[in-house]
Amino acid sequence: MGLVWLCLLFPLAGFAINALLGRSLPRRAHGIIATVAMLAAFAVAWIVLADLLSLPHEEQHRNLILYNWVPADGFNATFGAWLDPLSVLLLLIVTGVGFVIHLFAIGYMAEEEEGQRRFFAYLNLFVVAMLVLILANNFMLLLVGWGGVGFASFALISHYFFREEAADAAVKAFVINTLGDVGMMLGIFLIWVTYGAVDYETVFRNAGNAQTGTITAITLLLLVGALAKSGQVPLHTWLPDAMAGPTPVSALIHAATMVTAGVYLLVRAWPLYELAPATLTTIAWLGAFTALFGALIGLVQTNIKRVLAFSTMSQLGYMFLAAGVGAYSAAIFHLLTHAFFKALLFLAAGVVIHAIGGEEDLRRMGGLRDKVRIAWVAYGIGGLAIAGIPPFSGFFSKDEIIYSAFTSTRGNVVLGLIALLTGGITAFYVFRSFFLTFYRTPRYGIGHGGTEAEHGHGDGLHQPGLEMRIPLIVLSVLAIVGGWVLIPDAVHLFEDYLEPVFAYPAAFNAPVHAAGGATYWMIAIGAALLGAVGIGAAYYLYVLRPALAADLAGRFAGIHRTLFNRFYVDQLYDTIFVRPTRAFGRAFSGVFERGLNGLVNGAGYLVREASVTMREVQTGYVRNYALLILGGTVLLIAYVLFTAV
Amino acid sequence: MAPLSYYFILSAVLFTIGTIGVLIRKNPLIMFMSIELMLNAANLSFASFARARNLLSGQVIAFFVIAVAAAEVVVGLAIIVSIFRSRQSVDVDDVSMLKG
Amino acid sequence: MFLFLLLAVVAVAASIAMITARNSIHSALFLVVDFFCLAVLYLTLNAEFLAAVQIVVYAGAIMVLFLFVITLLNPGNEETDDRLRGQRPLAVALGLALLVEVALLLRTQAIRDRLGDFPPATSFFEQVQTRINGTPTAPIGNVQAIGIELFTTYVLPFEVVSIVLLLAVIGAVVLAKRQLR
Repeated sequence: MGLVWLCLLFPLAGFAINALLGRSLPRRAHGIIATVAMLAAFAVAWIVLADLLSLPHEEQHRNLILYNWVPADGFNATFGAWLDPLSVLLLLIVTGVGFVIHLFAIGYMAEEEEGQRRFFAYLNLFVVAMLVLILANNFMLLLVGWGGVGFASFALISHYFFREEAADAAVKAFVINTLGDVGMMLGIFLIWVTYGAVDYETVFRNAGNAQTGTITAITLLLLVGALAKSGQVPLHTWLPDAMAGPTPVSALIHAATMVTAGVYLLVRAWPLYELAPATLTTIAWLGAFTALFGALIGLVQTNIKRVLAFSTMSQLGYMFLAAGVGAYSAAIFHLLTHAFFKALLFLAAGVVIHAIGGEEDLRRMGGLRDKVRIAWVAYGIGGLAIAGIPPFSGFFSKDEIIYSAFTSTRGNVVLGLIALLTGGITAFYVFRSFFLTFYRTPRYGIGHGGTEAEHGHGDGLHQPGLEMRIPLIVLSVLAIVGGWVLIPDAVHLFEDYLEPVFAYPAAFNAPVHAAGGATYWMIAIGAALLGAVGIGAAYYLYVLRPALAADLAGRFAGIHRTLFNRFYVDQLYDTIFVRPTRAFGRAFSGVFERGLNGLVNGAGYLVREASVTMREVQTGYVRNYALLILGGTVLLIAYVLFTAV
Repeated sequence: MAPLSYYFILSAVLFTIGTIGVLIRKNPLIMFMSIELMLNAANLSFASFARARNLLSGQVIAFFVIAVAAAEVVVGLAIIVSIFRSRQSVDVDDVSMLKG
Repeated sequence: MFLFLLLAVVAVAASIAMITARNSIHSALFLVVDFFCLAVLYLTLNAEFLAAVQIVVYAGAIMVLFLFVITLLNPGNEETDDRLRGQRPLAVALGLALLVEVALLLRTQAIRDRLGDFPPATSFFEQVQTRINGTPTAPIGNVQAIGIELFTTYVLPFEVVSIVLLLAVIGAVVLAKRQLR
C-alpha cells in the first residue's frame, strides 16, 4: 500500500525533470519523459489496487500517514493518503486516462516549436495535484490538491497565452474556481469549528454529533467548491471558455478528470451529505437543471469543442443528480464511463482539428469520414456511448442514474423525466456535431499551410501518427466495454467493489441502490429508444434535409439566438458583476490618478529636485568631507554641552 | 605633578592642531602625520585616565591604538604610493572621483 | 609641574610647526619631536612600557616609513593657494570651536567633580584587572603588569590585532604590486 506514494512521485519527477533540466533536452524528449512518468504511475496504481483487494472487505480503507504536516496547538493535519476503493478507482482513472492522453499529446503537440516543455511539465504537475486531491486523508490536504489543479488548469488553458481569448479564458476559469475555493475553505473552517478536526476519519465518524443546520451549512459551502470545479450552474461559465487550451488539455482536465473532482468530493463526504437532506435536494435539482441546460445549449453551438464542453457540463449534471438522490455509486459509475467516452470524443475531435489545420468550427468541416477514418470510428463510438445506446458503456451508467432519479426515496418523477429527456437531447446534439463533421460535402479550406509537401498526402490533411492512434483505440475499447462491470440483474462487479466505501463508517447504512427488475429495464429500453430517436433526428436534419435545419433555426430565431448565446448567462454576469466592478474600479482609479498619483509624483519631483541641489555638496574633494565631519562633531558636542550636561 | 585636567587640555590642544592640519594641508603625507598626531593626543588621554583610575586598561588600549595605527600607516602609505604611480601627483584635490 | 609645562609648550610648538611647514621632511622631523615629548609625558604618568613603544614604534618604525615614502615620492613644495575656497579659515574656525567646546566641557560641574588631582599611585600588580593565582614575592614592573593584562583580560583583542596587522601586510603587498588604473 505504501507504494501509492510512488504514484505521486513519478509525475512529480517528470515535472521536475522537464521544468528544471528540460532546457538542455531535445524537443521530443519532454513528451516522452512525461508519458513514461504517467505509465509508471499507472503501473503502480494497479499494484495498489491489488493490495487493496487482497484485504478483507470490511478492512478496505486505509489511512496511510506520511508525516505530520501541521502540528499546531489544538489543530492537526497530516500529509497522508486515504485508500479505499473509491480513491483507488479515481487513482486508476487519472493515471490511466492521463497516460493515454499524454501519449496522444506527444503527437498533437509535435509541431510546436516552443512551449512543449512548459506544456508537459504543467500536464505532469496537474496529475500530481489531482492525485493529491484524490488521495488526501483530510480536508486541508484536499484543498491543496483542489487549488493545485486550479492552478494547473489556469496554466494550461493559457498555453497559447498570446491569444487574447485564451488568456481571458484562463483568468475567468481561475477567478470562478477561486470563488469556489473560498466557499470550500469556509466549509473546512466550519468543519474544524464543529468537529475539532479536519481528517476524514474523525469527521465522518462523528458526523452525526452536529446539528442538522450546521451540517447543512458545511455541505452547502463544500458544494460551492464542487459547483465551481465541476462547471455546474450557476458557476459554469468558465468551462466552455476553457476550450481555448490545447485539445489534450480539454480532454484530460476539462472532461475526464479535474471537473469530476466536484462529484468526487460529494461522494467522498457522503456521510455529511446523508445528514443534510436539504443540501442533497439542492444538488439533485441543480444537477438536473445543469444537465438539461447544458444539453439545450449544446444543440446550437458551432464550435466542436464547445459542443463537447457543454456535453461535459450536462453529463456532470447527471452525476450531481445521482449524488443528490443518494445514488453515489451510480454517480461514480457514470464518472468512470464518462472519463472514457468523453476523453475519446475530445481526442477524436483533436484528430480532426489537427488534420484540418486547427479549424474548430463545425460549419467549416464536413465530409471527413473517409479522410480521417479512425477519428470517424472513434467519434462514432464515443457518440453512441454518450447517447446511451446498448451495449456501449454510457447505456449502463446513464440508465442507472435515470432509474435512481425515478425510484430513489429522494428522487421523483420530474427529476426522472428531465434525466430521460436530456438523454434524447444529448444523442441529438452529439450526433449533430458528428454528422456536421464527417458527412456531406467538405467545407474546410484545403491545403492549409502547404502541408501537402510535408506529409505527402494528396488531400493536404495531417494524418494522426501511431502515438495518436493508440489512445483512440484504447479509449474506444474502454468506451464500449467500460460499462460491463455493472449490468443490473447480471453483473455486480462495480457495486461489490465500491461497497466498502459506503460501509464505512459503520454508523450509517449504505445507501447503495441495487438497480434491476422490470422497472429498470423498461426505463433503460425507453432511454435507449429516445437516444436512437435523437440520433435519427440528427441524421434526418443534418444529412438528409440540411435545408430544414436552417429553416427551423430561422423559424425559431428567438429561441435559437437564446441558446446560441448560452441563455445570456455570461452577459448577465457581465452586467451584474463585471461591469459594476469595472466601473467602480475606474471611478476609483480616477481618484487615484489625480490624488494619490499626484502625491506620489510630487514626492518623486521633490526628491529629484532636492537631490539635484544636494548633489552640489558632493564635490569629490576628500578634505571637504573631512571638514563636514568636523562641523558635525562640533555641532554634536555643542548639543551635549547645552542639553545633556 | 601637574593636575589631571592639564593633561586633558594638552591632549585637546594637540588633537585640535592635528584636526586643523588634516583640513588645511593638501599633501596627503602631512595629512597622515596630522592623523598620527590626533591618535597620539588620544593616547595621552588614555594614559592619563589609566593613571587617574589606577587601572592598566588605559595603557593597554593605548598600546592597541599604536598597533592599529601602525597597520593603518602601512596601508595608507601603500595607497598614496599607488596613487602617485598612476597620477604623478600627491595632491589630494587631484583625486576627486567621489564627485556627485 | 615645570617638566609638564616645558613638554607641553614644546609639543604644541612642534605640532604647529609640523602642520605649517612647507617641506614635508621638516614636518616629519617636527612630528618626531612631538613623539619624544609625549613619550616623556607617558613616563610622568607611570607608563614606562607605553613610553618605550612610543619611541620604538612611532619615532622608530612609523616615522622611518614616512621618511622613506617622502624621499621616494619627492613631492616638493605644495601650491600655496587653496582650490577649495574658504576651506582654511573654516577649518581653523571649526577646530578652535572644537577646542573651546572641550574646554567648556571640562569646566562643567559634573566633569570637574571627577577630575581633581591624581590619586596616589598603587602597585602595578593591583592595577591588573584579572586576578591571577598567588602574589609575586617582589613588586612587578609596568611591563610585567601589561603582559599579564594583555594575556588575560585582553587576550582576544590582542589576537585580533595580530590579524589586523597581517591583513595590513597583505594589503600593502597587494597595493604595491598592482598598478592602479
